[in-house]
Amino acid sequence: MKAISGERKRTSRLKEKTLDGYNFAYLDDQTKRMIRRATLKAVAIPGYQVPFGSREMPLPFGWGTGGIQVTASIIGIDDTLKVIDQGADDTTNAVNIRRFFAKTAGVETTENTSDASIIQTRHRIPEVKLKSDQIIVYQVPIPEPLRWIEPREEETRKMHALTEYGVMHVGLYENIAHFGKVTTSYDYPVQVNDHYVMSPSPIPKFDNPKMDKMPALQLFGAGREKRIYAVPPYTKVKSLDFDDHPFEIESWSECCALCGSSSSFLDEVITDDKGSRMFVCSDSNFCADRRAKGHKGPGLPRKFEIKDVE
Amino acid sequence: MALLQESIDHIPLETGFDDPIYESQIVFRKILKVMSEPGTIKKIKNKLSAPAPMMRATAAICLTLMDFQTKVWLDLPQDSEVSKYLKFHTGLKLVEHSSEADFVVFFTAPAELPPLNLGTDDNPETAATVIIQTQSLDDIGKLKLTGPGIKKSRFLNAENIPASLWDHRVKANSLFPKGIDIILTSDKKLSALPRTTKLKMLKTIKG
Repeated sequence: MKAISGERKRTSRLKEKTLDGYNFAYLDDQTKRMIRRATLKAVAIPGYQVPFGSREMPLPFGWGTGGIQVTASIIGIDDTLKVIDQGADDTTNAVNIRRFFAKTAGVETTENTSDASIIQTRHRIPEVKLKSDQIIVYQVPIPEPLRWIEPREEETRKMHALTEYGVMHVGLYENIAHFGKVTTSYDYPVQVNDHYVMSPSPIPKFDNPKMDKMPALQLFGAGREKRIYAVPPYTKVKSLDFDDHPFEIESWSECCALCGSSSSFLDEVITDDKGSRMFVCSDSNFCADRRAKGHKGPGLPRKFEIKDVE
Repeated sequence: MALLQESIDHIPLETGFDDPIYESQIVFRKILKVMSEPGTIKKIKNKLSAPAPMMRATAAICLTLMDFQTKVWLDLPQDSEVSKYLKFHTGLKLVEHSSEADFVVFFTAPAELPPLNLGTDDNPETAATVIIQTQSLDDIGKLKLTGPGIKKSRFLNAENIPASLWDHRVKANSLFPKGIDIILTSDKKLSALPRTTKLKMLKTIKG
């Protein structure tokens, strides 16, 4: 009896919350099964890009169609979804994707990183450490890290199979020879579980260390390129580097103007046309949380005084 | 009329999911959990019934992952009740040779694996997923697991699986990225051993 009433409750909750005439979470079940099978293989072979039959979504490729298809295939009525775009919950892409799933799957949405069971992200990993049982879904534009060097898919597949990544190190070496350091600042290639070299999606390299041995499951979806890949929890993820030029992340001399944080990824905001600028946390939820706890930053920059030159 | 008669004959009495969309999502998340954290044991709570010798967890996994696109090999005759049940509920393609299958289901654990599709170096995802039913599954076991998805190590005990099967698995998976991914089931429980998981047999007093 209890089970039946639970069923009714769920059905009525769905009817109330989801759009009429649409499948649960938009995709049909046949598509979901196909994506689910691809996702399981992706998890079983960490870092390997599994081809899948990417579908047309109600938004253009490049707006997160891969991530949305992965999220649609894993999401359930009891999930709580958070969506970020460059760290922020309140940007167009994030707001729209969040609404899309609230409408088609009737799920709860949140901006709070710790409350979310699924986090779909474009180009950032939240500052708050993710927990076991959480799933982070990355939107990926170009999943193949070797593509810049080798345009032929047949060749890149062989290079991956044979762990033939010398050419990636040549690329890094040339960078160091030219500039004295590696200048790649986002989409910095990583090697997963000592085998596959993988594109972490265009996250800043600041976030790369967070991927290593992360307790949450990491799924990557590339809609236009039709690839799904994954990193299981507690899996080694190493950014490519040299012994004498170890991997380094960005640092700032400033702190966040709003919350005073000096440990988070900062965005530079130009405040006038006279060269004034301020730095603020890119993770909007992290920053708001800190401010709610009473942390304060230096605030808006003082205006530069431009002296007239005679 | 004859066609109708035949299809009526093939309608199994055992039921699938009450609510396929929501139940398969819940089951999938459990499979995803055990596959991404090998050795973790999850329990399905669905009310489906399955014909013997199919266990409920096995049935739930099959109904969640299989359809007309998947080639499946069972260690049972093609006209068995289980075959009819799965054909009716999923529309899967049963194949004659185990080496052609995307999913291979063992209702009793074999001593060694038959020829299986291990995928290719270029396309390792085409390898078979092997579902094996066991008498019992628990985490106080004889197998020590390490690898991706495992913080330090995890323990698993799958009863009635011959040690020779694990040796076979090691051989198949030594060809990484080729290899096989195993899902273990026991009544309502499921657990998984993807190809990256390293197994170590722990010596027990009984041997």
